[in-house]
Amino acid sequence: MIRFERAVKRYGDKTALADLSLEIPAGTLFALVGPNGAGKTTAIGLLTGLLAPTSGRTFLAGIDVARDPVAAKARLGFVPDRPYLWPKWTPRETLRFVGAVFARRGPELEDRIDVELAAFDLTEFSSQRNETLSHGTRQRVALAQAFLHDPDVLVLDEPMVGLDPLAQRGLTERLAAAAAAGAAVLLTTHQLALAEEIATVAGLLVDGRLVARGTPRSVVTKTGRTGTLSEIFFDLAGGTPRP
Amino acid sequence: MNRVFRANTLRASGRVLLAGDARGRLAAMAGLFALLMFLGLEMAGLEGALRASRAALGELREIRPAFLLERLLAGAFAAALILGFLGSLTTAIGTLFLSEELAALSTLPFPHRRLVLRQAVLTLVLASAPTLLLAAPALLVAAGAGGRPILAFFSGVLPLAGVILLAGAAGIAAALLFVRVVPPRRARLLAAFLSATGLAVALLGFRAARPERLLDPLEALSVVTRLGTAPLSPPGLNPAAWAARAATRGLFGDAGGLLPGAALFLSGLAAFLLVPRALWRLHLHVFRDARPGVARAAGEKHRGPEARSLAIVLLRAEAASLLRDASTPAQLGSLAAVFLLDLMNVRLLPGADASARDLVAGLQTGLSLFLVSALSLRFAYPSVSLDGRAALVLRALPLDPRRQLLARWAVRALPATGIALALTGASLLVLRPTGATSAVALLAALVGGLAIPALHVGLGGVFPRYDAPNAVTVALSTGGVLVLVFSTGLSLLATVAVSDDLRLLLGALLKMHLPAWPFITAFLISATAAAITPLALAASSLMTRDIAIG
Repeated sequence: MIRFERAVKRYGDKTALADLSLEIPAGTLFALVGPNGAGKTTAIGLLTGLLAPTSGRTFLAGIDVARDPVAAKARLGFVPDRPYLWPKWTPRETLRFVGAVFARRGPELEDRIDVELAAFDLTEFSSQRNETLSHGTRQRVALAQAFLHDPDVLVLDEPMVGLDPLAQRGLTERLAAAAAAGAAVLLTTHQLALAEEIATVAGLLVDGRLVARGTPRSVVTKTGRTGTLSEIFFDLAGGTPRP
Repeated sequence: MNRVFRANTLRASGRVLLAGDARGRLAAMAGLFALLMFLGLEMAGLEGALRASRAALGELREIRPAFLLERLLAGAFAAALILGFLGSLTTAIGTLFLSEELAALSTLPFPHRRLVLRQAVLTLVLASAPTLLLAAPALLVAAGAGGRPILAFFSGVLPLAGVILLAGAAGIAAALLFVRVVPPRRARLLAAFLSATGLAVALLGFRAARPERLLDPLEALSVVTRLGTAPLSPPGLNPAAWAARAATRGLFGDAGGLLPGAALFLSGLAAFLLVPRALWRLHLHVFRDARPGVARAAGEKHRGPEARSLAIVLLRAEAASLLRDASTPAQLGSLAAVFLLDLMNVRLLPGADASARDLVAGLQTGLSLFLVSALSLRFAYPSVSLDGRAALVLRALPLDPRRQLLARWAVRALPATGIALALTGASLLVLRPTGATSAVALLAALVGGLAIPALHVGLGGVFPRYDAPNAVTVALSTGGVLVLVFSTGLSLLATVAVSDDLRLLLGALLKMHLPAWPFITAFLISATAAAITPLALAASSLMTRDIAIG
């Protein structure tokens, strides 16, 4: 469902992503972890068409993102690390626009918007301007718009940022349900315990290279170290936790 | 985009006007009122000019009005073409490469060509707004003056739209090619510099052509006769000349003017649609590869001596913010041109007639303060808004907003006062009016130079726009229009306070005696109130008002 085929991204001399080959099949919840600057957001940029690979290819639902970006994005639900919401619109208007883009119309769309607003605890904010919402509430609007059209592929860049524990729990359940229903889910997170808990597969990206991939437990084993994913992460990221 | 997007945008615009807080509504209404007033004044002025020229041309049988009008329109369309190109170039770099909205839309299943077309239309709307603001009243007045208003209207609209579309297409294409070689943020800075330099050169060139000759009736008659009797050369490949010819024919009731006008419009439309179609792949390539350049703060290695007090820290921080603003050099360039123009005017000031010298001394003082208003609108009014998200941090610091507002004011008021005093002083040296007039003029320049930046900093703090992408957007907001109205009023009051002759003229109109002291007192009280009240309101607002930043 999601595939990187020898994807490379360079900025001048700096290699942000080096020869990434990775396949995330349908029904998989894949957590991509790694220190800041490891290349996680670059990888997501290549998938969503925001960045062009220097070489290699990326696929969404079997569709080459570079060759047929519109068809590929029609299968995608995406939450960027800093979601953009039209400041003067309301959450309901935002969802109505996104729904219309994905060819949802009329009462069916309105009903679905109500469902997503309720699912992300947004009903009471549905008529407020986006610019007046808190960071966490805006993040929930961005999540609602990603789930609105039942995408085959979900790509979420740091989706837990700004969410309270209750909302985090709700999102975890939605992601698990989406994967169980056959979607391929790729998320990046710095919450390693969470990645260990919810991901069926994890990948560890360091300096643009995928150094390990497999179940969270097997990632630990493959690095030849002992301990939890968090401990391995600290080890690879420089030894000691940074403030 | 799609129907839902348009409906949402329309509803959101209505919400800003009708459902914002009282302060926002007041600023929106004041801005709307100022806009309507501008349009009304322009129409009234044009109707008056039209009546006067009709009467004059009735006496000058050898002059062909069509020649005059076509030459006038050729100049206007050429200006629209150049301004449209420069405006589109600068705007397109922002809308096509630095827009967060475009990045969000790019992840949705829209064909990229359509997104580029959408951003191009947005660019055209933003870049042509000043031209349309000036041209729309002129078109209405011109259409109403002829015998066939509908024909005249369309004969004007079609070539104008054609010229705007051609300029937009050229500007957008240039922006795409420019960003191909220079990173977007630097490209925007360079384009703004280019625009400002172009405008400054145009202004100085216009001034060097000595348009004041037209104030001398004999010279004016000679110029008008020359322009109104010599036939025009064929338009060739010059779109501005074609537009002028088409519009002139239509305005004189010739339906044949519609054809070249429509041809120009269709050519412009074709060029405008062709640019996204031909260059969307280039845009996609550059958009995905464009990385914002890392700007290193000038002088960051040279820290200078350690600050001895918080006031000095705040002053240094303000000065650094002001000087490191990427668009400051470009905009200072065009303001420097205005400064030069004013100095060029000084040597043409009347030297013999005492009454004229007194009148011009008042006008020059008003002009100096108006320049301070323009400077303040760009550099003082947006100062609070430009904190952006840093406003959240500032609010959380144990820092009295009054101290910070005073630092913002001091950094901007010092150069503003210097400019006001230099311009007024230079005029006074040439004019040599009475001692009393000179003293009042210098006092007005000093007080106005200090008060106007305070008014702008204060009202900018009362109506902050932390989400605005740049200073110009803040300055052009409804609050910006409101503050410009206030500071222009203060400049006008200074003019009347300085000039005995102007007060005599005003007194004759009002049939009453108008001595100097009430005006001087009113100016001093207004300036003091305009400086202190908004700063106090801003300090209170910045301490207590909710902050919502995206």
